[in-house]
Amino acid sequence: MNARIILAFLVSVLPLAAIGQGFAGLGTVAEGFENPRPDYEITFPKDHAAHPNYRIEWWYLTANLQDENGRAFGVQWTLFRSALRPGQAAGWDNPQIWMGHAAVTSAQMHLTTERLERGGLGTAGVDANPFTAWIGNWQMASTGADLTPLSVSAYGEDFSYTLNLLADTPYVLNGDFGYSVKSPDGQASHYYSQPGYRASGTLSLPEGPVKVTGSAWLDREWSSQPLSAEQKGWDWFSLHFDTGSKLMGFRLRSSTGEFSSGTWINPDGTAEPLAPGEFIARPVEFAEGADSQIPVEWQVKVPAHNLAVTINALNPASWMDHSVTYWEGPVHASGSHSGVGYLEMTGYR
Amino acid sequence: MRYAAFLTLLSHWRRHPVQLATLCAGLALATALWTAVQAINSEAKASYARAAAMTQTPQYATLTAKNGLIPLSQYTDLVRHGWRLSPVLEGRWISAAGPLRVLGIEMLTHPPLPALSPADNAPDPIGFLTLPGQLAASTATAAALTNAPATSEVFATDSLPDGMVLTDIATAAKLLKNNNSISRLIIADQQQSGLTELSVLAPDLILSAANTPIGPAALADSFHLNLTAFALLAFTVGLFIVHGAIGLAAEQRRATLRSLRALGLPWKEAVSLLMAELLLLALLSGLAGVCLGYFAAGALLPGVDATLQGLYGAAQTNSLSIRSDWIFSGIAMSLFGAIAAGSHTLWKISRLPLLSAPGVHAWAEAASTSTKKLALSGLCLIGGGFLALQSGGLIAGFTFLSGILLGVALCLPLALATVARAVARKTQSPLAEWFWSDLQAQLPGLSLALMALLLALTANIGVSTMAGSFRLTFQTWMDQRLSAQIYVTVQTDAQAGSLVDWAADQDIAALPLRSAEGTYGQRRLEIYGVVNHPSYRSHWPMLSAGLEPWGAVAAGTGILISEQLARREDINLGDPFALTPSASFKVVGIYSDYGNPHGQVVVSMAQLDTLFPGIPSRRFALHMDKTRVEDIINLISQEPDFEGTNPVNQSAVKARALSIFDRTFLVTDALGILTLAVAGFAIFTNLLTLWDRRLSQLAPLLALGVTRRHLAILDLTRSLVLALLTFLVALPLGLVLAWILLKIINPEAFGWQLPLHFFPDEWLKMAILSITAAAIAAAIPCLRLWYLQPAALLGGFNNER
Repeated sequence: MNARIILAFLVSVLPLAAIGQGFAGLGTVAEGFENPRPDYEITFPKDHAAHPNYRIEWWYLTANLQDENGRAFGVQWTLFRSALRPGQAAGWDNPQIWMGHAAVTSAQMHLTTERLERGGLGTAGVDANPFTAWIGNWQMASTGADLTPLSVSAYGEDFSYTLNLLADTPYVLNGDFGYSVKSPDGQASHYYSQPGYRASGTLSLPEGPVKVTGSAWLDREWSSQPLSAEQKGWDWFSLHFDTGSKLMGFRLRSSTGEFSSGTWINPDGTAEPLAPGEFIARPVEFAEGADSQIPVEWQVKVPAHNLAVTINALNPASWMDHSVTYWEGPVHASGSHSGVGYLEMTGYR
Repeated sequence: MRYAAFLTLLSHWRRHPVQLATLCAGLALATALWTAVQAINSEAKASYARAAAMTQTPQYATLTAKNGLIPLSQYTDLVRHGWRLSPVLEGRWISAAGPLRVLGIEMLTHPPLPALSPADNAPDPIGFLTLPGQLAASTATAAALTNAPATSEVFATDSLPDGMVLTDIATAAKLLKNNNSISRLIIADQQQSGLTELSVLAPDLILSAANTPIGPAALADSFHLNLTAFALLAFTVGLFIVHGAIGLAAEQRRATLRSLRALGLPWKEAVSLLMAELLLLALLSGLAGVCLGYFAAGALLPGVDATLQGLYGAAQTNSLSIRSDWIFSGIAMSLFGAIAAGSHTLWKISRLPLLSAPGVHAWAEAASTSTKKLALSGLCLIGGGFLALQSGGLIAGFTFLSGILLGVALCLPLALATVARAVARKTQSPLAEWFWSDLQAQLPGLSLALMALLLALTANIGVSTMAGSFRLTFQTWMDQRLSAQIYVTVQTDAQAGSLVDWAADQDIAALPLRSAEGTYGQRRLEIYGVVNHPSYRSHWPMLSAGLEPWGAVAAGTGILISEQLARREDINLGDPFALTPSASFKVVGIYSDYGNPHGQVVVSMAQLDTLFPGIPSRRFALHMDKTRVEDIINLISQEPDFEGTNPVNQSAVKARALSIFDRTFLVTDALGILTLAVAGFAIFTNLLTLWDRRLSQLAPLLALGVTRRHLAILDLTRSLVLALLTFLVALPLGLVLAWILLKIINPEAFGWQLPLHFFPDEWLKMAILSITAAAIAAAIPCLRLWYLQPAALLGGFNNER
């Protein structure tokens, strides 16, 4: 997944006049932190764990699911890490802050929740072996150091879910072997994905438990300054097509224009990075009423792969309105290819 | 008829303006003292409430530990079970600008606070969360902190009370040197369903439901209780004045009443008219009293403020606002007081035969039987007090206290009359015999004022003895406990090592001070390790000890425990004491540890290191010759190896502690003097009201050849003798009061007892004060007598009713 949310939610959690430096402070200069390097070689399982010398990081899971009657659901499980300064320490001295977001979305409802914890106390964190990412009693845990099989759970006030994930496809290194450029100025992140999970589990909803199956996509990304100062937000897509191909594409909006990129993943799991501009996404329809700024229908094209699809939100009101506000929800694709996926839009509110 | 009768009754006051003034002044003074204290308490409460609104979130349920501290690991455990909690760490921090209350919150999860709202001058969040952190404080506190050297940046906000700082919990943990525990957990109101109950996960923690009010510290509460008790006492003293004035007025108006009755006014109506008159006067006096009280409170508030801030760290304010609660309470007390003081008189009037002749003797006769009745009820009260004491507890202590005080006060008139009668019988000279008989005859009219004086003197002697004993004990105790000349806190192990070596070179004993925290009986326990050194043997303040207690401690078999712990857990000398399940010691000594709410034990350093390994040596006590103190402090401060260490001169610590202590008693002292002044005023007004009948009593003596001046001197002497006799009763009663406070109330309230010390110079001061008060009170009547025309005296024969 590309430029995602930073945990500079401090900016919005804590009172501070508008920082005016891109969405959620992502464009601020990162002093003392390590910066992504093109020559950095991503290795597993080491890079599944946290990188405390980088300012931001996330373990981002989205799943497109169906119940026995074919009703569509989306599930989000995200653990964000944000560092106040580089490094680790025990107890209150620890500079790491953790934020968990979870959501279940259908055409009729969008249930979300958030958890915030400080690092250094054991209330949230990521262990490498066996791999466990947790915050409070939510967790994403493997039986070993690899990211499969995974069991994922999250609990909100009015919903919860547990999912089991299994993948046999390789990890996809986005960009240049995992070095994912985010602007013409050279801002970048380290970014890899596991787009090939088969998911099954149970959603506990106000209406009762619902058994679901489907596909899921995990993004791992860390950086220290992924946006340039002018960039105000982004639109990010992850799509599973019925042909077995998958597409990750993003478009960063700035006052001077836009920067887009992505990865095309073949049915056999091999990936082809898209050059800047190769991924084209245009909003065609906007939500009604107060949210008239937010696009809920898109035209997405990748001419190099003969792709031209219309993307529609399952639920136009899929807002994650917590410490940081953004739109994150399941979508379906129709046109040259059909399929399902997830859309994230930031910087609209 | 009713209107005419009312005017007739009121006309009495026109003829006796001094009496009217007495009555009104008495009520106004009593109300004023009451109102002053209520206004102070109300202001304090409002300020606590304001502070609470700024810093607390009562709308959330909370978890606290019985011993005051929740281990950090327990917090983590509860969060891992799914509970959404926000930790809070609170404590008292001795900053460079004085003691402050630190409120450390976890900003990410804590509910919104006014001081951190965007509207306020909120801090930079990253700076706030990143050590060394930032401190939010009121403008005054921020200014004090900015002038003092502080490690964290300070910013001012209008949304915090004075005397506290709000900061991130990480910064608070540093300031309070507490990295392993928290004070309370705020439970978020939105939780997932189906969580394991907190009572199951943490049965040892106390769950307080939302909207449970959090009051000020218990100590501040007890201070307010003290003030209220003093105000009630002052009010009672004021009522004595009112009672006297009303009684006399009724007596003098008996002829008028008789005439009104003869003209057809029913008794019921007459009594209701008197009652209406009383209530009207009470209302007016009450209003005056409330105004007076407002100014008195304004004058006392800074002292109260200093006390609460210095000693308890409680929030206070320097400005007094007008609040309906104390205004209404003042007026209500004035009305209630007037009814209480007047109802007895009104009842008596309604019972007196219609045509009974008025007169001093009849009044005195009636009073003499009531003196005996009073004494009897006094004895009953004393007996009741002793009975209450048997049940034990704080309430029993207070009941005993009030029983003894009021009981003895009620017995006073009879005791004074008995003394006067006995002395009169022994005297030879006719004039002396007359003096004592006259004194006895005047007692009923003065007894109320004398009771008031007795209570005021007793309170003063009692409180000054308690405060004095407290101070002396505290001072001695500090001399013993702070026996080293310099205390040094080092930053690192390396510094600790070099300090010990350096001290050895300087021929100074550097004794390490190490301590651990544990629990005993589910309460926090402080465990101190000491090295075997003669300074402990010669200085440590033991209350009781076996043979060679320090030898047993050094050998690792014995343990010393603090008085609080011994009392609370009922542990005696020689009992076994299990510090951990596997380590049991014999209690070889019990020592006093005043003012510490937690239990404390002392073991050998070797035992401490075995039981609680890895405690670093950071504090050292340096023992040396007193003359070297300044030089050594300078040397340590200049030595580069010891950078960041903080050598403290022990005498500075002591002076600081004593100055805080003295401020506490400044307010009670002021109230004591005020009470005494009210009692003096009571004597004065009684003498003035007695003046009219006095002339007819003195006239025969003048006729027999005693000069006016001689009579004036005799009159003054009488007042002084009565004051002195009252003082003689007040002295032992005051000591009993102090004894009750120190030996019964204090152990019940705080868990430690104090030795009673006597301060004869204080008694002398009180004797002089009481005699002075009586002399000032008697001065005007005496002067009037001194310059009175003989004709006026002799005219008394004509006016004899």
